[in-house]
Amino acid sequence: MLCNRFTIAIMILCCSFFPLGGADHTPYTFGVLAQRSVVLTAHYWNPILTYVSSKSGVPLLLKVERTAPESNLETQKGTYDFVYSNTIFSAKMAEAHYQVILRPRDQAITGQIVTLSDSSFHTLQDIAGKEVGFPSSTAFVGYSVPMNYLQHQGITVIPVFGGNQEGIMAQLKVGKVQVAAVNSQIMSAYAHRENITYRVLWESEKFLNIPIAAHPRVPKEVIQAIQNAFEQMNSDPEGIKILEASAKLITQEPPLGFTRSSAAEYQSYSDFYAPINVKKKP
Amino acid sequence: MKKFFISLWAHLSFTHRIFIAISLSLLLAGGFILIILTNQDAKDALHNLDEQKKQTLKMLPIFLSESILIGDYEAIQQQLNAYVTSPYLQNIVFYDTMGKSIQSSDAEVQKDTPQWFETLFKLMDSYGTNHVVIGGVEYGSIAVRLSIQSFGNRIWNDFRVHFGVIFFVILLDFLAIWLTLRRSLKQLSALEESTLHLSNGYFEPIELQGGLRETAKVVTAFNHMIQKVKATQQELQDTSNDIKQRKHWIETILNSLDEGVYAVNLKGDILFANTKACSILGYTEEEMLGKQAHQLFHSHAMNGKIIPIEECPIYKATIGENTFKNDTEYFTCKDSHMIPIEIFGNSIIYEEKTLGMVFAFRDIGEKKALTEKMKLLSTALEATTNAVVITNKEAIIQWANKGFESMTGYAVGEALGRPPQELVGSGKQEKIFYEHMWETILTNQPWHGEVINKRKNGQLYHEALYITPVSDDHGEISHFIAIKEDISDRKRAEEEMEHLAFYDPLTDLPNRRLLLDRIERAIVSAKRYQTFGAVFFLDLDHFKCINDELGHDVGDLLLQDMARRLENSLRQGDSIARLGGDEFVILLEDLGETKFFALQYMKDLAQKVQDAFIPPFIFNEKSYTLSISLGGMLFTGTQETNVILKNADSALYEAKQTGRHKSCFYNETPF
Repeated sequence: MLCNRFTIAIMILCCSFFPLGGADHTPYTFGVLAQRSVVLTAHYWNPILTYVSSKSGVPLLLKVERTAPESNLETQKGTYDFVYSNTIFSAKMAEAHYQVILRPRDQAITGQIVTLSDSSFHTLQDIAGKEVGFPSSTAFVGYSVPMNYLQHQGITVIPVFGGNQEGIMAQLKVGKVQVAAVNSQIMSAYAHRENITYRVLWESEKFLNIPIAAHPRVPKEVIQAIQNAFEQMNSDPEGIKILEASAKLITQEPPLGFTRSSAAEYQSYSDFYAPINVKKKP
Repeated sequence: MKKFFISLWAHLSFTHRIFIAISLSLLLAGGFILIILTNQDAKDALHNLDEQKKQTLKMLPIFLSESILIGDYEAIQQQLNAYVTSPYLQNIVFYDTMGKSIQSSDAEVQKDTPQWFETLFKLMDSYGTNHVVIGGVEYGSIAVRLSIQSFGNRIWNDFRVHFGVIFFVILLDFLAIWLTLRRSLKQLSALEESTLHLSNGYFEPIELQGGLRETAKVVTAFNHMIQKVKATQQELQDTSNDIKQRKHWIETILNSLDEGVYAVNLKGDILFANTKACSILGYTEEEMLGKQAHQLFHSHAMNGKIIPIEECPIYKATIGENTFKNDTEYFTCKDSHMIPIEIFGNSIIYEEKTLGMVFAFRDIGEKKALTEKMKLLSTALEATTNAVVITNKEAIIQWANKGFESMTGYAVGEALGRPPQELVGSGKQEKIFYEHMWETILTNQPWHGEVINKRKNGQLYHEALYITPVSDDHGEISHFIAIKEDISDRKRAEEEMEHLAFYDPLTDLPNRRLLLDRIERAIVSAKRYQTFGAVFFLDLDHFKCINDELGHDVGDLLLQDMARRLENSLRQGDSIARLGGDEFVILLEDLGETKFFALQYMKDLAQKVQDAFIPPFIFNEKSYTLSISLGGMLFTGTQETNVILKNADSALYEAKQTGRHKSCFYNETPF
C-alpha cells in the first residue's frame, strides 16, 4: 500500500516537471512555405519533424499549402506555431511577429533571373516587355528582389506566377515561360534532378537561406527544446541519416541541418523591405 | 427397397440395362464438368477482384496524398467520388487520424444470381484497408469494398448456357445409343433366321449393315463359314478349267517364241516341237512328233560326213547332262540344206526324275556372216596407218586403232572412255572452229578440216581430220567415226616453199618479189591516209674488190653482217630487202603528212645507216672498214612502183658518181 502511494506521488511529480510531453498532447503546427509540390515537401519534412518531436518531446504537425500565397496568408494570420519561411520580414508579415530561432547551415541563397541554355535571351535588356515567370508575388528572392532590381533598371516585364518555386521551374522547362526568377539553390537542385541546363542572366546579392521562426505564443521552453533538437540533429548519427535522406529527395548539397539564429542575422531581409533601394551585384 | 431394385434390374433386358447405365454415367459426367467449369470461373473472378483491390489500395493513397496533407476534405470527397466509379469498386472510406471519415459509394449492380449459387461457389465481395503514410507520418487509413456482383452475374449466365449445352449433348447421346441398340438387335434376328436356312441346306449369307462390332464379328464368321463351303465346291471346277487354260497358254507362248523349241525323251524321240522349230527345219508338227531328233535333222556334219548317234553331242547331252550349250553344230532341213545353229538344252526333271530334255535353237547363219564381215573390217581398220577413232554421241572414245597409238603416243586402253579433246587438244584452234565442226556433224553431215593437235609427249602436229556421224535405226546419231592423218611433214614443206619464194636465202631478208608487194601496199596506204613514204637504194662501196680479194664465202658473211646492221638501224614496221649482190632496198612507210618532216626523217635514217658502217667488219682476225652509198626517193600515193624504184636507183647512181660514201635524194641536193 505504501509502495503504491509512493509510486503515484512519483508519477504526479514527473508530470509537473515534464509539462511539454505530458500535460497537453495538442501538437504544435509547423508551417512550410510552399516551394515544391506538397507531397515532396511532406516527404522532406515529415522525417525531420518526427525526429525533432521525438528528441524535444514537443509534438510537431506539418502544415503545407498548395501555393506560396496560401502559405503566406496562413503565416500572416499567425496560424502556424513555427514557420519555415523568408517572407516573414515583409511589412505585411511582420504583423504576425514571428521570431527567427534557427537557420539552415548551408550557404546563402541568391535570387536569379534564368533562361534555358538554348534560349535567345542573353541580357536583361532582351527580356524587356516579355513574360517573366515568378514563383509568387510574395516570394523573396524569387520575386521581390529581382522585380525590385528590374524596376530600378527601367526594365518592364509581364509577370507570370507559377504558385511556388518548382512550379515556375516546371513552366520554364516545358517552354511555357522563356525566363524565370528563381531561388538559386532550388533552381540548381531542380536542374540537376530534371537534367536541364540554364543560363543566369542576373544574380542578386547573397541572402541567408530560409529561417525557422516561432510565433510569440509559443513558450520559451518549447522554443528552446526545438532549437536544441534541431541543433543536436547535425551531430547525431540518426539525425544525420534523416537529413541526408531528405536532402537526397531534392538533391540538396551539404552542409545539411540547422543552427541557432536570430533576427539580427536576417537584417539584410529587413533592410530590403524597409526602404526602397536597389543593390547590384558587382 | 434394395430387393425391389434387384428384382426390377433382373427383369430388365440387356438393352435397357445398357441404356440406363450409360444415361447415369453421362448425367454424372456432365454435372461434374459443369461444376468444375463454374468453380474455375468463380476462382478467376475472385482472383481478379483481389488484384483490383490491391491495386486500388496501392494507388488511392498516392492519389489523395496532396489533399490529405493540406487537409482539404472537400477535395478528398471529390477525388473519392471520381475514383469510386472504377470497375467493381463499390465503397471507399477515408478515416483521418482524428477519427473523421469521408466516404463515397457507387451505385449497386443489379443482382441476378440466386443465393444458393453464390453460396455454392463462394461468390463474395472483397474488402481491404490501407494506411496513408507520407514521410513516415501516418495521416489516416483507407477502406474499400469491391463488388463481386458483375462477375457473379456473368458466371451465372455462363452456368445456364453450359447447362443447356450439356443437357442437349446428353439428349443426343441418348438418341445415338437407342439407334445403335435397335440396329444391333436386327442383326441378331437375321443371324437366327439364316441359321435355320443353313440347316435346310441353303447357303445364303446374312447382309451386313452397320451394327455392333461384336455382333458384326459373329455375322462375319457365319458368312465366312458359308463362303468356305461354297468355295470348296467351286474350287474343284476351277482347277479343271485352270489346267486346260494353262496348257493352252504354254503352247501359245512356245509358239510365239523366235527360237525353235523341241523336247525329246531319253531315247531322243521328239515329244514336242513348236511352230518356229517346224518353220526353221521345214517339217510339219506331225512329221516331227515321235521321230528321233538325231536321225531327222542331225545325222550329218557340214562336210557331209555321217555323225554316229553315240558321238552326237546333242544326244549325249540328252542322256547324260543337265544342261547343254553349243554354237558350232549344223541341222539338216527337210530340203537337205544345212544351217548353222546355236542351241541350248535343259533337262526335264519331274519329282527328281529326268524324263528327257528340252532344246531351244536358232539359225545363226546371218550372224556368222556378219561376224566374219566385222572381223574383216576391223582388220582393215587396224591395218591402216591413219588413226581411226570411234566415239559415242557424247564424243567419248569407244574404239581406236593402232594408228591412233602411233600418231598420238596414247595407248588404246589409255584413250578409251575419254574425249579426244582431253588427250590431243592443243588449244591452238579458236572456239568458233569447234563450234562450226559440231554444228556440221550434229546435223548428220560429214566434216573435214585441218587441226593442230598435241601428242602425249607434248609435241604439236598437223592433222587432217575427217569426221562422219553414224546413225542408229531411228535416224538418231549414235557414234562418230574420225579418221586422222598426220600432215605435219607436208605442212612443213609448204611453209619452207613459201619462205623461199619471198625471202633471200643468204640474208633471210625479203626478196624483190616481197619488196614489190610491200611497196604496192605502201603506195595504197599513202594514198588512203595522205602520207609520205620513202625508198632507199643501198650499195656497198667497192664490194667487188672485197669479194675478189677475200673470196665469195667471206663476201657472203659480209652481206649477212651488213643485213643485220641495216635491220638494227630501222624502225619497227620499216622493211629492208635484198635485190641481189650487194644491192639492198629500204622501204619506209607512214612518214607523216608533212614533207619537211618526212625528208628530215629520211636524212636522219641515211645518217644512221652510214653510222652503222663505222665499226669495222672483222673477218679472219682482220679488220675492214667499209662504206655505203644510199639513193633515196620520197613518194606519195600518186606514184607508181617502177617509177619510185627507178628514181631511187638514179639517186644512188648520183651518190656513186659523186664520190661514194654518201646519200643522195632524187630531185634533192645531195648532203
